Amino acid sequence: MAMLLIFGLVLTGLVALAIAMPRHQRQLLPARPPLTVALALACRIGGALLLLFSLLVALRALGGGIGAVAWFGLLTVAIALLALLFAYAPRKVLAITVIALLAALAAIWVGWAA
Amino acid sequence: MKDFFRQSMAWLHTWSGLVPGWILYFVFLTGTLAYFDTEIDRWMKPEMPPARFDLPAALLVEVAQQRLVAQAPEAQRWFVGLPLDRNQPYLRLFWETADGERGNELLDPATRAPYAARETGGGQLLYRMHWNLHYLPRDLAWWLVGAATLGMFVALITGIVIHVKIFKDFFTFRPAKGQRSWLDAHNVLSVSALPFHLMITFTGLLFMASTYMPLIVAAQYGTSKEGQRRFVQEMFGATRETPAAGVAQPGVALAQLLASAEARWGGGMVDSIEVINPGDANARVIIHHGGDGGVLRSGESLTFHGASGGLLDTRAAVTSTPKAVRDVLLGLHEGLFAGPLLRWIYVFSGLAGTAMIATGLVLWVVKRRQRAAKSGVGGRGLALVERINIGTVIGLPVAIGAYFWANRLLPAELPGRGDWEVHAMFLTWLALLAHAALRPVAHAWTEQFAIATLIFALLPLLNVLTTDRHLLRSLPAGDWIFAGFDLAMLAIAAGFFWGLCRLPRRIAATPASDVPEPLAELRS
Amino acid sequence: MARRTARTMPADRWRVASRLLAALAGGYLLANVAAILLARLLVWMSVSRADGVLIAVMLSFLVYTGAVLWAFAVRSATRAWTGLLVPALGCAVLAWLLGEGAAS
Repeated sequence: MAMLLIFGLVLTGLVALAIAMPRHQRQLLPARPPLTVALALACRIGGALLLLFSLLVALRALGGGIGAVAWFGLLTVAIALLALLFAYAPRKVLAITVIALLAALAAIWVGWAA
Repeated sequence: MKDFFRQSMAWLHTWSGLVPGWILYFVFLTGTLAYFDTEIDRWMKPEMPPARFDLPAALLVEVAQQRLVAQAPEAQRWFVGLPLDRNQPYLRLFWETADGERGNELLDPATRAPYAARETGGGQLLYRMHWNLHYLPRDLAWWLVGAATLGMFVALITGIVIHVKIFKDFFTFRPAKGQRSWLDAHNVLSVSALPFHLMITFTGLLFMASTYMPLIVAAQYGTSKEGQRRFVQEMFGATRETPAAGVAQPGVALAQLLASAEARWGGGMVDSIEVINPGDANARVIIHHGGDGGVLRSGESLTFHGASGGLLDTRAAVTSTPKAVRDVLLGLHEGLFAGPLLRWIYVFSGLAGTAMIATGLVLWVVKRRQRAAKSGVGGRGLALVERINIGTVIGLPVAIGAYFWANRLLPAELPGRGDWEVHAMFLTWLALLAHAALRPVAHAWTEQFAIATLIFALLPLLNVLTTDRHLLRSLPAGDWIFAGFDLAMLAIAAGFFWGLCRLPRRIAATPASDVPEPLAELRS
Repeated sequence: MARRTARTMPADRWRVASRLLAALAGGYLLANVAAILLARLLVWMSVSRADGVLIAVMLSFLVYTGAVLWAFAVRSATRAWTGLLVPALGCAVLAWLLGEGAAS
């Protein structure tokens, strides 16, 4: 459950960072004109904060050692997943990210408080 | 000037990666499989019943002691491993005599005798090959693997240094663009799992540190054996060195000492018991705590006097910070603490590393062929690397598939069948290297992808024909070791099938026109 | 942009071999003497002998790697050698002066 939550946060954070990159912004939001500098910066900061938050969640939920290992591992999986999606199915990235985030929030509601 | 630096680091990256590349591929592939060593062990011994972790430790210890007294009363050292989790699924006995004779058994607590299962190296052998290689003298193998690992570490650091667009290209993979795609793939595989690659490589060196850097120990402890022993004692405790008194004295029942340990730690925490000089007046019993499930490899241990049963020493899990750092680092490498999901993530990262090496090897050939096409200078080096690439990148996995096939096909009574399974593996690898050498390159890739697809796709079918723990039974029974293994074989086959459909064209025939100047991407 | 071939960098076979030897042998030497010095320094600072050796051994691999990169990053093979041997000599002298230090 914790893993699902961490993964959802990590994926969302990475996608936020990706949106701030022109190459991927064109893939994710083809209709939009390029982001303003301020907006791109906001995306980057937001993404970084999400990643940091996911690390804190991992350390808290899984303990120091395992939490750190799990966070790096999930980061790896998320980056690889995004690389494949951007290559073969860029239009699905946002949808998949939203699903992952919803699943993560569901994970909180279902299991974590217990 | 910056340009010289980047060029020289690029050169160093290429050669520190290429020269040990095939050894590294072997090490990474067997190492990745080693994360499922006990699962592979169990698939390769279908006669064994499913592991159970609910038997009381006292019973297991009593059974173990009875067997050890019968089998190895004169031993210098006994070891009993208790089944706590997938790291040790069965009750394991090990002993060593003064003349170096060793014994190893998995004991069935119900029959109080070893399980009757086919002789096989199992997954443990793949795990040990990961640093011992095979057929080579141990020291030579360690030297080769160590040198390769240093090369890997240099390749990683230089790779980071030269990867100019590391953030811009974070998620970038552009398929079907020739050399560009191979470089993208190599980059994504390296960067996405970079923390893992750095950790696994550095800690790999650490495992054998005293072998690779003996002078540092010697400078402090002297070059004599006595000096080396003192270092080991200061790190791990001196109990194992206790000399035998030469006077026989019956030891206390291990179950009694176990009870002391469990009173102190709670039930189910003892993961192993060592007896030094069993049956002697100077016997010692070391009881090990299984650890708290975290990354730290070591747990507390209690040392008892073997004859009197008195508690002599308690050794904490953390004796000093540097040792704890070392233990955490080694623990990260081994991943013994990992539950199922985390274990799969370890395997994913390991496969990324294996594929990183493979794509690097292919990339070198593709680039060289470009250059050769332009300048007309071919090179026997290119042809050699190309052929070994095929025979190793595809050939080695096929060879491991053959190892599994041999496990199912070789008769149980064949003497040394465990050795023959391994011979089958290496003979297959040799055959595929020969095939790669003899066939035209494009055909070699295609045919080997096809062979790989078949050898893995048909393995579950072979399982149906040779055992009764096949998919049709294991899936409904929830026998996840067997079902999981067979399904994994099908997934691997699917992967090779995808490779068969998409890759041979792209490796063997790189369009001359599409690729920019070889170093351009390093310059931008 | 100048076209780069493997032959322009590093310029010639012997110099490459020299750098390689400097990297592998000189690097190993430097890694060892630097680590021996570190271990003795730590013991002198009252760290236990085993701990000192452990820390030194772990860091020695980083020194070795750095030395390998150094040997190829510098302008000439000569500089590669001097950049490794001179510090190695310095470390060796210091380590010798420190002596084995107190037993654990």
